[in-house]
Amino acid sequence: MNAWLVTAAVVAAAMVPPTVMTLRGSVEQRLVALQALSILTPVALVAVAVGAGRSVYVDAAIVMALLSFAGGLAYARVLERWL
Amino acid sequence: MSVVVVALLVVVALAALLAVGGLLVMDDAQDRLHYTGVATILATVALVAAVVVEVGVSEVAVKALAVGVVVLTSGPVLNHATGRAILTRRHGRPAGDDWKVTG
Repeated sequence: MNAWLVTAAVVAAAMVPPTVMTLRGSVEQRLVALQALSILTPVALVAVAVGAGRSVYVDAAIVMALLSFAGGLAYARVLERWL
Repeated sequence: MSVVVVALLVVVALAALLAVGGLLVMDDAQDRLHYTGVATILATVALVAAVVVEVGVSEVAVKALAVGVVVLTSGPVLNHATGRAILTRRHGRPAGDDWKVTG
């Protein structure tokens, strides 16, 4: 396991508490935890891509970053207006 | 693998841990929101720099730069939208904001 994969593992481990936070607490806390996850996920994917030598994982990171942005905005607006 | 790459990867890991530590320590959602910015800026910039140093100018580096640009531009927007949503839930709609869709 090289330094890239170790970094990806650390970032993935850091994603565990926000994942738990999305299941507990108020909707505001859950949204913030989801936002933290949406930032950490592309970071972990890029680290895995370089560490494993598979560039296709970077494509997944790009898609993840774009979709999580749109999803986060939609979630924030729904939270603001209706929840 | 150079020392610079390892140092940048350590920064990435520490930024992720710092951001999550802030989420765990803070109680209020608005306070927690600040710590997502740590991961957005520090972790993303350090990771993209590490990729560029490691692989040079290549397809992976360009894609990693694209990830960095997307995260760095969308992160603050998402932070603002989230903060605004939380404030609106707590204090009501801002004056003059009637939610009408125009155009």
